[in-house]
Amino acid sequence: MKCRVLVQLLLACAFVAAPRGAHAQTVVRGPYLQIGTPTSMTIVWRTDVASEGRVRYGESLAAMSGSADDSAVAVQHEVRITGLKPGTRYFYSVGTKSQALAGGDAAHAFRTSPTLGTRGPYRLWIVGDSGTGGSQQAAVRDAMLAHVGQSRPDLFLHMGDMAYNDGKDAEFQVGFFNMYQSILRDTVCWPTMGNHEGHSASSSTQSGPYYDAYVLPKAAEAGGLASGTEAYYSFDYANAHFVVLDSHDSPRSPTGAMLTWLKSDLAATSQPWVIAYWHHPPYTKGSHDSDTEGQLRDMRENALPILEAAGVDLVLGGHSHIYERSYLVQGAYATPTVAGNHIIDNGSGALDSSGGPYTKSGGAGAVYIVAGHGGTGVSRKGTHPLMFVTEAINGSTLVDIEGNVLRGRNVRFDGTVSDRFTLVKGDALVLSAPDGGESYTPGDPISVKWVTVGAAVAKVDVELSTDDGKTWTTVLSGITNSGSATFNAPAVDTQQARVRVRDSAQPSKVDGSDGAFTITSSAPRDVITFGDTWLYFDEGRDPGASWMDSGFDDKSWPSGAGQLGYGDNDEATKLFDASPNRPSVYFRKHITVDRAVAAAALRVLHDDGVAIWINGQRVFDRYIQGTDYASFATQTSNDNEISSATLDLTSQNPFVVGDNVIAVMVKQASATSSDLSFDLQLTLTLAPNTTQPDGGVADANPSVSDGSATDAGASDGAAASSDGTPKADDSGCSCSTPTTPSSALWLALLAVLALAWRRRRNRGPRPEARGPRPERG
Amino acid sequence: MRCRLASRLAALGLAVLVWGAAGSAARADAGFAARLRRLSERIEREPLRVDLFVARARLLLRARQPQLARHDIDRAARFAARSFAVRRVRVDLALALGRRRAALRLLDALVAEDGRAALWLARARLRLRLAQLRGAARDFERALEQGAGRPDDVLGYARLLQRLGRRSAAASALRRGLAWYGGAVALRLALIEVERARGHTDCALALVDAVMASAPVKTQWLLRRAELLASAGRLAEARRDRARALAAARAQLSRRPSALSRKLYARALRATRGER
Repeated sequence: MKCRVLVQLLLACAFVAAPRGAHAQTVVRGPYLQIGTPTSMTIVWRTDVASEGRVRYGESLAAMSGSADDSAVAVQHEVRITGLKPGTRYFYSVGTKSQALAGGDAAHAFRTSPTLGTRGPYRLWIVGDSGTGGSQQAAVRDAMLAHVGQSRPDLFLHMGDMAYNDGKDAEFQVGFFNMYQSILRDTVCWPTMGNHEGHSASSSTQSGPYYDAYVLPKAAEAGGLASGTEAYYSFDYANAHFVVLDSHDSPRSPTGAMLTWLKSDLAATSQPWVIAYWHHPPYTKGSHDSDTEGQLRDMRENALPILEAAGVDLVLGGHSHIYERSYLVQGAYATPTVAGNHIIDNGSGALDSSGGPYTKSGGAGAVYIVAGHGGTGVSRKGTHPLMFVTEAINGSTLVDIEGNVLRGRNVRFDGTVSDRFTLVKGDALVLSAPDGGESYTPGDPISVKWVTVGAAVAKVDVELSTDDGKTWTTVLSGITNSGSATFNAPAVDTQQARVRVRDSAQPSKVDGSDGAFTITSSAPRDVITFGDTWLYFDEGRDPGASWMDSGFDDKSWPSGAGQLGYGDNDEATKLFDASPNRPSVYFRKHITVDRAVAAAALRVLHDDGVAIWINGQRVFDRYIQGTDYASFATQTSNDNEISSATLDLTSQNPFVVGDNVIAVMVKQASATSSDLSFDLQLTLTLAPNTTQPDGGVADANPSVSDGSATDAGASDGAAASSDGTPKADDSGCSCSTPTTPSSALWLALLAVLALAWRRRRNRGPRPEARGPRPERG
Repeated sequence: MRCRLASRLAALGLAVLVWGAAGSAARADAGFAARLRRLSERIEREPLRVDLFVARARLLLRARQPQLARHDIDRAARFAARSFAVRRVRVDLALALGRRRAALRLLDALVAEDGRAALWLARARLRLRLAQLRGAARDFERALEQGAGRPDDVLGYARLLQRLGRRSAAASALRRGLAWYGGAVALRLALIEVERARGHTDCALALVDAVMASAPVKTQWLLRRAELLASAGRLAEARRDRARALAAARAQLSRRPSALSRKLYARALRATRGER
């Protein structure tokens, strides 16, 4: 009896002490941002179990005192925060009323839209037809991130086809939310529905995974006039008005609701720039033909006359798997499309060409871009007569707007910028260099270049900002307007430098760098390059569970120069070619850094799968699921496939000051694969010079050395990041609730043990009173 | 076993047929080709799956290949003639073949059995094309009662009611639509016209004022307001709004010198001069 009381007491204690809900709630999608306005933001996330939702937010991580709730018990949470300040950065976390499940760190922050009419600068990222979830899509994303550096896009415009093949919920997860998570958590995405989303969603009922995923303004919540539907809508940002149409599943008739709304919406905007987009492009000869396909033709014949009459400046689309960029054109609505007199400016629109930028006078002319090259296979049927650039290569498009100057560029998946154009309204000074992304050391000459559009400008001032445009210092005053000037980089450490050139007589005529550039003694440098020497282990067995840790003893491993592998006859070091294949080959390399690592990017050549650890923390993988010796890669790669990644160091920085170990596992896709390849390039940016512990100043030219000759066992930082914070799990996701055994679990365990002990004592004949069990018929 | 083999062979034959004849459509659209290929491969593996035949039929109908779609529908009907999906896609086939009355008969049967909003809407649209206006109106009403449809369906229904001389019902439908669709401008414009035609000037003015309040450029709404006031004999107010419209149009023209701005400016100028 005493024992029974004890058991009941223990179970009761366990029940009382246990957290509500036995299952640790996890964020399985997001958080991501929707309907950003100058004073509000909608934050969306999905949990694995239904609950109420709460967003906590504030202007600093230390003071996240604001909160907003979603009182509905659901797995999809949509919380709108209001009463915010325009153009202000807010940190946030999402979770339940009792706990935060994700966020609350530097990576989870958003900036509210600037006040309506603000001249900028601001940056748009335009992606279409991306939703494969594959390596090309990732390469397009990474190339953009590498290109923009600190100057991340302010808006993400998606042209549709973001979830192949059928826009199903699981396809959205893989092709969109997982792929862009690091972008979606701090940048609002404004989508339009593609035909592939249309396989599972209906604009008629505004239902299906596409409409489940997005919260879009149907009642003019972000500017414009109310469309009444999330299928098509408009919004304002800074000095631009954006119009998003549904070319797939809403009637495209001139008298239909969509185009009736469009006419009124455009007549009501006072914004200097008008940008329109939808999925099916009006002009293309990519994987689709705008002369022969109904939706493309409808939009050209019905929507374009309305848009061009209202002075639309830029029209974007996807659907056709290609990058195409037009001349400045106007009035080409007939089918088939001919150039005729529709090309207003037949130049390149580039600043450095003889024609210079496109200029709009009297509101006429627009540039058309097909950005259907965001990740899926690309192809072309021909060359469209209105297109200046046509290239069937994966990539994405960036557009920068400042005042009356709009600049576009195409960034290929490998980082090459293959097209640039500029569109100017009225008179302007247009800066072409430095354009963002450059790196200077103090004392370097900075060459500033610009073009004068329209009325002549006699004298200009050149100004420098080292805080991303918050404050400016004049570095050259009243110089003759020759289109170029040079000044020396000051002795500062900044990744947020910008230059602008200003008309001395008319200060409102000014233009600045599209992106920030760096002035630092710690510019990015390749600490490992292709061809460097690696330690390797190709003995066809497991080298031990801790092989990726910095403390692992790799003294017995042989070394060889990259490329390492076999089967392609391009290897500098041939590894053992067994038959059947050995599933895994291992590589290690030591490097030493003398300051904290501020940014890191890698390019890895691999065949087939690859996983990379830095000081025991997994930072990258491709085509790999299991990391045990015997597992094969999940799929075959291309020969010598190159994958790129910018490492996210904001939450868990794996690098330590001192010795660091890069450990790599390369896996075959099957026992019969004919080749294996590996090489790697690692680019690090070290933190700026700071005062050293001994009170001195760090070396102006800091060392990052290949530590292959150092003692491999010297590292002591494998299990902690440089700031001593605990490490994330392998996925880098910080969304899970910690599952450390609680006191309640220990109590429950005790109770179960006590019960078992009691049953053991009581084991014996069953009491007769219970009677025999009835037999089954 | 023989039956299974025969099914497989038939499916294979049909797949070859689909491949051959749908080649032109496939060439025009890489996505279509890939989707068709995947479906055909699955049908080859699972030749008894009705849903796969229906899916391929839908795809072929979208690619304007009704004859090929018919093969798939007939094939699906052999396994499940009473299936809702098979009968629904038959409606689309009949429409694609231009057989509207046959499509209507098929829809009648489905509506009688099911009554889901999408079917009412489909039949309403079809009856409209067949000039069966009263029947179409009834079907629209049933569909919209269930909250189905796009703003276009509400617009279509309201226009239909106006054609039938039922302005009050049209206004009511548009008001319901405005409530569902968050003040959709297209519906608001239609309702303003209906209220004007009914002589309910104040209602129409209130609708204009509501949307004008949030419009940064108010020219179009001030001109509409002036028209409403003038038609109600409130000439002084109309003159005042025309003057405001002209000022707004002039400002917009200097800010955004587009064809639309010029057109609105010209309209405002004509209106202030007493021209139409």
